[in-house]
Amino acid sequence: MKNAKPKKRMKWNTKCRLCLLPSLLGTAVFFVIPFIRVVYYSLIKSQFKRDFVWFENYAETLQNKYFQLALKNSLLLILIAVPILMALALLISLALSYGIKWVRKTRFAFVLPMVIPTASIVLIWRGVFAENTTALPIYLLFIWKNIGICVVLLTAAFASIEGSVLEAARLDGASGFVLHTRITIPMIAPTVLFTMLLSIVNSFKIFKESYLYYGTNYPPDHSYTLQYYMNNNFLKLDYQSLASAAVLTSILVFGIVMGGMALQRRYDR
Amino acid sequence: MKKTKILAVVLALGLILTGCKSDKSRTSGEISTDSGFRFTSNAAEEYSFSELDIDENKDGVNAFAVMDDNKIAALTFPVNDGEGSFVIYENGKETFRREASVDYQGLCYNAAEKCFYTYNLMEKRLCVMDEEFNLKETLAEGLDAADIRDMIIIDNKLYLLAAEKNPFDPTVQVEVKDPETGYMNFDEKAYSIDLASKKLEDLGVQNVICQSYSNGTLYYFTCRDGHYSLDVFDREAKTLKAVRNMDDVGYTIAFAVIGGEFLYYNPSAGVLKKLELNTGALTAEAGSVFIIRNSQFEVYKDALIYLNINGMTISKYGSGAGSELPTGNIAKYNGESLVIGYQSAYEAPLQTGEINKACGVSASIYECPVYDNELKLELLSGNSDVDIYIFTTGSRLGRDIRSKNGYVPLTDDGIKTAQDKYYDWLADFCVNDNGDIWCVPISADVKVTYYVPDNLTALGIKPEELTTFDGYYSALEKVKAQEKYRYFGTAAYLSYAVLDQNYPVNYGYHDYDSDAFKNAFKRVYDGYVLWEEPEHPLFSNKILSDEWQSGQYILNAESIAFMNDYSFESSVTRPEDWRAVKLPRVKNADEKSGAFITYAIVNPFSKKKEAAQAYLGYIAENGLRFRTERSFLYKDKLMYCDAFDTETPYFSDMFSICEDAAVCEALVELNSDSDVRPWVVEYQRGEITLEQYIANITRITEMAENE
Repeated sequence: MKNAKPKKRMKWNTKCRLCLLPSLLGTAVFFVIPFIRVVYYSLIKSQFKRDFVWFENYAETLQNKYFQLALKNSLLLILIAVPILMALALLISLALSYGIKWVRKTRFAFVLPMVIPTASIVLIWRGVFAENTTALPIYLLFIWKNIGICVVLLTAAFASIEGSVLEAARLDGASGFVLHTRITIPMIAPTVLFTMLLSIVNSFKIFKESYLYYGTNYPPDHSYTLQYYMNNNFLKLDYQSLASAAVLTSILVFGIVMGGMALQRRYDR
Repeated sequence: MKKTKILAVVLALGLILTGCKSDKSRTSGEISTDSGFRFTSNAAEEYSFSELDIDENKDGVNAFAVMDDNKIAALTFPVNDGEGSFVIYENGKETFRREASVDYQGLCYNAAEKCFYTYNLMEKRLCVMDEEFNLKETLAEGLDAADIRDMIIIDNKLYLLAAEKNPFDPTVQVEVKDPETGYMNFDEKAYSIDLASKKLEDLGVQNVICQSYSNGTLYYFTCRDGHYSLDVFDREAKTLKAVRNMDDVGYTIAFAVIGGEFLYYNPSAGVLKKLELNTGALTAEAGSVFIIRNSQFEVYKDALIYLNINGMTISKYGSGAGSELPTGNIAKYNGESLVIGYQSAYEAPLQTGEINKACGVSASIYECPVYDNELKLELLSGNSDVDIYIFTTGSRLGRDIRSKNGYVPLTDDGIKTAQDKYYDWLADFCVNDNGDIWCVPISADVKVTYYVPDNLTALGIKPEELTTFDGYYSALEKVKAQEKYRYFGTAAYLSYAVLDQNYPVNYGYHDYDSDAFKNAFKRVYDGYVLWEEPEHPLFSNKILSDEWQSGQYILNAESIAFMNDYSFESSVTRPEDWRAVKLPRVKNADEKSGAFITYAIVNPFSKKKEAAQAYLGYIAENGLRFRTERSFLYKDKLMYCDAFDTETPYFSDMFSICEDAAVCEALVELNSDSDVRPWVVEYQRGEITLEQYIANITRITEMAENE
């Protein structure tokens, strides 16, 4: 009897591991191992003479003015476009959860950006912003493209809040603004955080739209992001610059994600 | 007594010195004469006629006949205008010359009668000429031949091969060629003429391509039912008996059977080859040979006498006639198989089949991915089967390998030796900063302006004007303004060629913000090249028209490949019609023409690096022989004899242009379509100014270089 529980747990753990194995193998083969290889490439002199130069490539990349420009533009996109995206998504989700008629009727429109081909969107964007010489079209494109998924996630989060909690808050005298800032949003904070992290990661994927919009490997300075830097080095066969930039970008993203998770843990406490 | 002794010593010394001098004069080497008639001798031993010294007009030998150990007679044709000649060379010197009509074909000497036999093409009769080439009598009439292939005297009979169709008519060549066997049936027939009775007899033998006589046997090389055969002709029974199937030899127009060896001329490679009849073992004979008739190849005693492109070679058979199996490193790899990879939609850059026949190393061609990135991934995987890569100077991958010292240093002797033969600028390209030879050049592409002199003069344009920027465009305008003469191509292309040569669109430079560039840009894009035209003139295929005659062409801007397309079938690209000058340089008139190089490197991950090196060394030491494209790589004009007619003015033009060229190597690679051309279109629409265009292209050039 004493041993029955541990045996059950072991069996269950083994089963879990077995189920996870294919996924883990796939992740290892298609992500982990290639990433390790990229790190290796970033530490050697060239593909032909594989002498270790350790962090020389990183130093060169960090000192490169175009990498700095790309990093700046990527961070600006995160710092400006993502908060705007989150704010809009929250408002729309709130409106949907309140059942505002015209918002409910147009909710399918928020999903459209996810299904319309990028090239078609870019074609329209080019026409609309033909005279624009700023990064605004790209920012708007990013927001428009990602609003859908954010709204879906946040709406689901709002829907998961128990009605009794909100009822109780109202009975205690909480009004709209206080209700949302003290009750609603804190309750959906994990989802908000997740959505924000997702949006930050998606901000690195705007390259496809940007590339199609500008139609060149060398967009205006304001839209030159890390992906352009990496892509151009790939085209130039400079794998060492590419690899070191990729690792630095990974560290950046990893740092943001870890920071977000730390924030959440602190909040949970 | 003392005086006698001294005299004897002096005499002896004199004899010794004379003997040494004589030996020196008879050792192997090449002799260039003022007349341009060159003689190459590989004679290892003394031959009375080992030297030929022609000191008059430039001649080409049409036919020759050995008179005796000291004399060779030749029928020559003039390289420039004029009549042909009959010339006798005795002990290496010209001793007799007279004018002889080019209507006379073939030459056969009858030592017993001290006369020559030759065929008069216009009069359709076989003539007997005395030793000064005066007509003595007619030997035979009624022989309707378009060409006399060969004549041999055997037992007081003249055995003659005549072709009823003209083998030098390009239309006929195309008509009669069997694409599978390569056999061209010019309706050759074998005849015999009894020299006593002058009776002409058709021997009833068909499809005889060439003949040879040795040790009492008359051999015919025939092609019947799609198979080549070496046959013996029974002169009594007048029948043919097959000796051996010769499909492994293929088409040849001259041969000799010596003992158990079949020595023959390979037209496609321009070399003599030797086949062991019993074993089928093949050895390649090196040497530049240019034979167009059976009669231009002769075995006399133990000497081989044959024509090369500008002269005659006499060599001792068996000890110096070229080489046997190639020596050097490549010999070790006989039977080896390599893979050559190249990125191109065009024909393979090397004649791998010919190389295989010559040295026994086979190579298959692998068409690599067109995009550098795909190719680099393939290469760096280390799993590629390719042993030799061929790149152009436009390839980033080649430059990358070089700059990162990822190449295999080439140390083969053939490669090293060839370095001294290339143009200096080309040799420098092949050597890395650390002194390693890292590549072997395969071809060089230099764009020039071609023009037809008479037509240019008719329009009042001087050739030297074409070398200046303003003069060139002035000429384009003059041609545009009239109807009689045409560009070979389009005005747009000719205009674009100047911009492309000076500022290759794919390779960014940093001096766009200059008057020179602006001037060139506006010239091209303000009128000649309009990208948005429905049928863009730059890439129009309407170059040739049935209505256009070769005499109407006047200008072209092309690479030397333009003249490589020369063939008898084409009436519009005859080298003798065209001259060439440097394409005008925009920045500085003295700037050198840019050459785009195709070069070969050994794959750093190949498992057969040594064999690949030896292979490249073998190619390098054989001049242009194995390279598909005949281009200008060497500073010695003799290296071009197999590939070009070095006497033509166009050759001299090209040679001097290429001699003073420089490698045009990509500095920054842009994609002209996506990065640059849209701005040209915007400029032409008036959406951006030239300054904005320059700012754009300068910016991306700087970014591409410094990212």
